[in-house]
Amino acid sequence: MLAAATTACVQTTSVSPDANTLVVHAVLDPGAQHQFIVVQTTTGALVTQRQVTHAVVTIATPDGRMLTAVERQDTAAVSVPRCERCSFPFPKVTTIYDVDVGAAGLVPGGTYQLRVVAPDGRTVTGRTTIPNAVLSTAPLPTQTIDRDRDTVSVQWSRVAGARSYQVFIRSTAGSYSLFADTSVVLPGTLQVLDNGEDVFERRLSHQLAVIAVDQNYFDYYHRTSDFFTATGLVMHLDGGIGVFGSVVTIATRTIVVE
Amino acid sequence: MILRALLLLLAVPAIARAQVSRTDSAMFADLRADGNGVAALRTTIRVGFTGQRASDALKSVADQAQLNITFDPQLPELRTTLTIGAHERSAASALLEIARESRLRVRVSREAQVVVAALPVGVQQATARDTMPPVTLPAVRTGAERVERREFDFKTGVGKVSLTPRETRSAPVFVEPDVLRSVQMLPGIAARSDYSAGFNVRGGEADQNLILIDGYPIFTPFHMYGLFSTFIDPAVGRVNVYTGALPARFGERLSSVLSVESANATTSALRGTAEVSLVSSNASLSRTFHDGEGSWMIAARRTYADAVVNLVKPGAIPYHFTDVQGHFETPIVGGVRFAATAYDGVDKITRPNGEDDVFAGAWGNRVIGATLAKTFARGFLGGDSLALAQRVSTTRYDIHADIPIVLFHAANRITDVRTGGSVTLYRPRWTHEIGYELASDRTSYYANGPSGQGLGELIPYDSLAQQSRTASVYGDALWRPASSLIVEGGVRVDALDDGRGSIVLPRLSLKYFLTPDIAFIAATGRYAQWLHSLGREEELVQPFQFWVSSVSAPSVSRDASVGVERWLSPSRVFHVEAFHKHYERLLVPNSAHAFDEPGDEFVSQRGTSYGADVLLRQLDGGPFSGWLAYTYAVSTRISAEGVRSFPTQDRRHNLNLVGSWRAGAYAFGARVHFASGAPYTPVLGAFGRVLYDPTTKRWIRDPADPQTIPGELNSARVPFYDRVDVSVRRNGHIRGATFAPYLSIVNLLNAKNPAGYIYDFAGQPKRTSFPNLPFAPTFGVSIGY
Repeated sequence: MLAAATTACVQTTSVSPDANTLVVHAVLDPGAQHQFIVVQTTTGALVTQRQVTHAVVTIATPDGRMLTAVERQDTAAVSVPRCERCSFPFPKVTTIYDVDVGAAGLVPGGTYQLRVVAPDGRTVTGRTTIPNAVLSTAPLPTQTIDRDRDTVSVQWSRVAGARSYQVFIRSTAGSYSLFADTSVVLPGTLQVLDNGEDVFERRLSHQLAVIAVDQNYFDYYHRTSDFFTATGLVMHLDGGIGVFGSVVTIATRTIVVE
Repeated sequence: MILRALLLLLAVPAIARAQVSRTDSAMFADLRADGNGVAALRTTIRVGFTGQRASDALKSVADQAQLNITFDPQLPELRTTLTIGAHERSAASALLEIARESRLRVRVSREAQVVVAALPVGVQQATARDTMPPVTLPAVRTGAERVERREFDFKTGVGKVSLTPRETRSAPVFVEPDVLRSVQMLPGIAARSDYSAGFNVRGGEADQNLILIDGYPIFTPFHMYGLFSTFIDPAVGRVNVYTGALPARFGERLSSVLSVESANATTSALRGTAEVSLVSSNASLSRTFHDGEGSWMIAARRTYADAVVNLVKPGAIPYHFTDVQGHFETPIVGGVRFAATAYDGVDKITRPNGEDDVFAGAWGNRVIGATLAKTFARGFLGGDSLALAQRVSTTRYDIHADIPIVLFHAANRITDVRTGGSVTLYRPRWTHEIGYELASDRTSYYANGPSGQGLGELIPYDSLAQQSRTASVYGDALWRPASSLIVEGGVRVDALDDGRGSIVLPRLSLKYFLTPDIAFIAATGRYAQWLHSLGREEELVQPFQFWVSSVSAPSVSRDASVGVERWLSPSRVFHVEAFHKHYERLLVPNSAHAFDEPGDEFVSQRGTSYGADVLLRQLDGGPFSGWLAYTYAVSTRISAEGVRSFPTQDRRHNLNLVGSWRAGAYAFGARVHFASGAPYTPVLGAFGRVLYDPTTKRWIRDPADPQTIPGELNSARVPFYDRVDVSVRRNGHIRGATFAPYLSIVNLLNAKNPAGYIYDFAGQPKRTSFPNLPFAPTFGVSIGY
C-alpha cells in the first residue's frame, strides 16, 4: 500500500543534458601490436554518444618517441553483442584510432602519455604506467568442468606496478569480469548479479585471462556510478571522461563446460 | 474556603495567567464515588500504600488511571503517611480513601480535571451531596517541580532538550511511536529523508551522534533499513538530547548525545502493556519491589507479517525484526545500588534453502551494561554528599549479508567494551565531578563483489580489521558564585593508541539569571571522534551504517553558542540559541577509496556550521502540550584541495510545529513541518562504457547501466518541503485494562516532497523524483493492564 502510494507521488520531468564532453577509452596492452583507441563525444543524452572522426591521437613513449594513431574503419573493433539486460542501445562504432607500436612494442614499467585533439579543438590528455610484468606466453592447461559440481581456481603472483588484477572470462554467450588479489575460486554456478545469467554456459568453451592492471584502469572499472549521489567513477583524464590505462596479461586458460 | 482559594491564587499567579480561558472558567464539584461521570475516574485500579505520603499516593492513582491531578505541594496534609491495603476499586474510590485519611478534598470539573485541596475550615469530610455551590478554582499546577525547571534553576543546560515518554508519543506517528522520529522534530535536528530514523544535528553528519541507552552506547539503532528505531516505545522513559555544549563526561562524537533512559516501574503491582501497529507488536511488563526501592522492566517487539503470511505461503515474507529490552535496579549491601540494562535486537532476511541467488542477511545490536552507585550522606569530605558510580558495558553491532552465487559478501562488526567511573562531590555552591573511561573497540569490515554491477556504492567495497583502545579522563566543576550566576567548566582528555596521540578537550558554559525566569546562556567546547561510518551522507536511503575506526588522527571540532531562555509560566518556556561549529579536521568517506588499500577510507575536510535554534514549548501536564521549533543553519565543507561545497544536510530553514491536545478520552496530535530544500548533485548526462577484452585485444560494450556525468557537488537543491501529520487516540477501558486505539495520518495533504532524483538519459532524457513519504494512514492499538 505504501509502495503504491509512493509511486503516485513520483513526478517525471524532461531535462536537457548539458555535458558536451569527449569520451575516450584507451588501454595499452603489450601483448598487442596494435592499440585501439575509441574516441566519442556526447552531450549527455545517450543517443548523442557518437564517434569522433578526424581526431588527432598521439602517444608519447618513455624514450621520447611520438606514436600517431591512424584513423581507420573497423566495424569489429568495438563489438556490441546482443544484451537483453542492457537498458539502452549502444552507439555503433566504426571508426577506430589504431596506434601501431611496432616490433619494439610497449615496455612494461614504462610511462606513456596520451593526447587526443578533436576537430573542434577539444583536447583530452592522460598518462599511464604499464605494470612491470612478464607477458604470459604459455597458457595454463585447459580445464573441463561440470558447472553443477566444479569450481575454477586460478592463482598468480604479484606484479610490480600493478594496482590490481582482473579475471576476464569470455565465450560466445558473453563476458564476465571481476577484480581479485592473487587468486580466485569461481563456482561453476556463478551468475551475473544484474540478471542471473550464468557465467559458465554448458557446452561452451570459455577463454579466461588474468590481467595485471594499472591504477587508472582499476579506478575506472572497479566501480559504477551511484544511483543517488552521481559519484563513483574515478577518472584520470584531463579534458574529458573515460580511461587511459594499461594491462598486462599474466595468465590464460581455456575452460570447457560439459 | 474563599480565603484558601485566594491564598492559592496569590501563591501561583503566573500559572493562573498562563492557563487558557477554558480552564479558568471550569466549574468544579466534589468528587463522588461514581466518578462524577468521568470515565477515567471509573477505571478499576489496584493500589495499596504502606507508609507512603498522601502526595505519593495521589501520584500513584493518577499514574494508574491516567489522570491529571492538580494540587499544591505545600499543603501540609499531603505529608500525611497512609497505610491502605492493596485492593481493587475505582480510581474515584481510591482518591476518596486518600482524601479521607489525609483530610483533603477532591474536586472534579466537567473536563475531567481533578484538583486536590485542603478541607475548608469546619468541614470534616467532603460528601457526595455537597450543598455548597461549586467554586471556580484556577487550574493550579503546583505539582512536583519539573525536571526541565530544575535544570534551568540549577544547571547551565546549554543545548539540552528533554522529552517525557508522553511527549515522545504525543506527535503523530508513522506506523508506531518512535523515539528517534520524535527527536527529529526538535530544534537543530533534521533528517536526510522521511525514510531515515537517523538524524543530523546542527549541520553535522549522521555518524556524529552518540546514542546511549541508560548510559551505554548503541550503534545504528535502526530497523527496516532506517525506517524505525530499535527503542521499544513502552520501554522508553525520558529522552535527553544534547545538541551542543556537550558536558565533559561525554566524548567520542562531534555533534550530539542522545540519551534514552529505560522506563521505570512505578507500582508494586505487576503492570503490563501490549501494542499492535501495522508493522509490529510489542509487550512489556514491569513492577517495583522492596517497597519501591527496586524495579524491573522487560519489553519485547516483533514484526508479525511474516509469521502470519508464512503460515499460508511459506517463505513469502522472508524478513522480520525483533527487539528485547530489559532494565533492573535494586539496592544491595551497604547502600549500594545496582542497575543493569540489556538489549538485543536483530533484523533478518532469510534465504530459502538452495536459492543462492537471493539476498540474505542479518544485522542488529546487543548491549549489556551494569552500574554500581552509592551516595554518601551529608558531611562527607565537607560536602553535602558524595556520589560514586562504576559502570561496565559491552555493545556489539553486527551486520552480514550476501548473495553467494554472484560472490557478493558484506560484513561489519564493532564490539565495544568499556568501563568507566565517576566521583561527584556536592557542596552548597560547587559540584565537582571527576571520571574516567577505558574503551576497546574491535572493528572489522569486509565487502566485496562483482564490480561494475551497481552494489559497490551503497555498500562500499573495502576490507578492514582494526582495534582501537582509548583512555579518557575528565573533570567538571559546576560553581554558583552568586544566586544569579552558574559557571560550569570542564576538561576531557582522550588518549588514543597506535600513535594517534592524545587530545585535550576543554568545555565551558555559563548561565546568568537576569530574573528568576530569564537567563542568558553561553557555552563553548572542543570535541573529538575516531569512530566513523563508511556510509555516504548523500545517500537518500541509508539502510546501514558501517562503523570503522580511523587509523589517523581523529576528527576534531569546536563549537560556541549563546542564547536566552525564559520561562513564561511553570509549564511554558522560550529558548533561543545561536551557534557556531568549526570542524578543524573532519573525516568523511573517500569516494575514491580502494578495496585493498587500508587507510584510504576517509579524507580530511574542514567545515563550519552556524545558525540559530528557536524553541517555544508548552510542557506536558495539561490538556495541551507541544512545541514550535525553528532552526536556521548554514553548513559548508572545504575539501583538502580547497574546494568549497555545501554538505547534503545543509537545510537552511527547518520549522516544526508539534501539538497534542487531550479532550476527555481523546488525544489529538498534529505536526506541521516546513523546510527549505536540501542540496543534491545534479547529473549533467550519462554515457556508455566499453570494456577492453584481453582475449581478443578489442573492445566490447560494457553491459552495465550507463555511467553518470555529475555536475558540481551539491550545487542544486530539492524544492521546499512541507508536510502535515495528524493523529487521534481514544483512551478507554475494557474490563479494567486501558484500551487505546489510534489513527495517524502522515502527509495529510499528500504533498509531493522529492527527496532526490533519478535520471534517465536513454531516449528522451528525463528525471524522476524519489519521493518522501506520501499520504500514509496507519493505525494501531495499545493496551495497558
